[in-house]
Amino acid sequence: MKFMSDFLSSPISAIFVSLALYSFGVWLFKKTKLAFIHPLPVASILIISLLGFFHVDYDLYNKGGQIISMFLGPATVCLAVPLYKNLDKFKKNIIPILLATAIGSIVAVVSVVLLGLIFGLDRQVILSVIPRSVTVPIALAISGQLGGLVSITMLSIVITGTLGTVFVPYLFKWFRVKDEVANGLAFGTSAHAMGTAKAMEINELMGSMAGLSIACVGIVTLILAEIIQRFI
Amino acid sequence: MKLLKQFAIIMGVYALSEIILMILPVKFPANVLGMILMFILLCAKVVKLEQISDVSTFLTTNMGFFFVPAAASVARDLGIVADTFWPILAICIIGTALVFASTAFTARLVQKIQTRKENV
Repeated sequence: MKFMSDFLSSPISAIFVSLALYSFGVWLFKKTKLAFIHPLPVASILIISLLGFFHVDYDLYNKGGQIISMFLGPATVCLAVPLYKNLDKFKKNIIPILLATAIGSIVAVVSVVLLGLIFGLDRQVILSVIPRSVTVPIALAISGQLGGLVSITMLSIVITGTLGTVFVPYLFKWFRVKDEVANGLAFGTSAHAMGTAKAMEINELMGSMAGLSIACVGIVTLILAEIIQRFI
Repeated sequence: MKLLKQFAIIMGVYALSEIILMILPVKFPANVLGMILMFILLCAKVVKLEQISDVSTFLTTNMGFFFVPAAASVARDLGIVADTFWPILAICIIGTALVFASTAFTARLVQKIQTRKENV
């Protein structure tokens, strides 16, 4: 076990293992064609199991993990590109974009707080779940500001994102919303980057609308979270 | 060399937004400001799409991978996660449906009001 602990605490191996398991997740996703086998939960669950099985401290693994997480910054910066590509559509739909994402974000935050109180969850857990429909880097900033737990925030984000790829495609068939702008905004607002990835697969306009909503949702939720935490 | 230059432009915009936030006394995530800044620079044609397109496609299409270490932090709090998993799952299912419906219907409503105004 000492060997595995040493192996995973080397940043190089941690990055290699993460890449290998994520690639395995991608392969599994393509092989099974099951929407809920997204590479992110697959890779994360395998890493968590590996760390648990060999009794490796998460912080040791995260020495390499931090290097991977660093790419989230430039990746977020690049979300500007799909927006720019659809600049005309963006200008044309500016009012629906701003109103719909604001309403969606309010519903997201209020539903978490109300349901959390009904289920009798701890205050800290509720605060951690609040940014569940926000893109990871902004959600972690919100969670940190509220004093939430990174793990619970990530869990709720991954569950939400998985629902966004599995369940949301059915939602937009049931609700019969036949508009790429409306669907894209709903995808991005309800299921952040994972919903955006799914929307992008279907249609680039839908994906860019989802990508744009991510920024709006992040900002609205950041402000809302600050206000609502005083009431719970 | 082409890819390095593209990466340099992206990191340059990111670094610039970090510097701005060091000077301004506001709490705002640097990556989001970087995204807004990149959008403005693209619109102003200071940065051209071809100057960043390959690296930005790589970063955005593989974004899920960059979340793996943060998601693996569940390993640290297994006890709390086990205690709260089912209520959190229920919140996410109900909440996602509500958010999807409210966002989509708000967007449709606004679009309908806008087209009606145009027709009058």
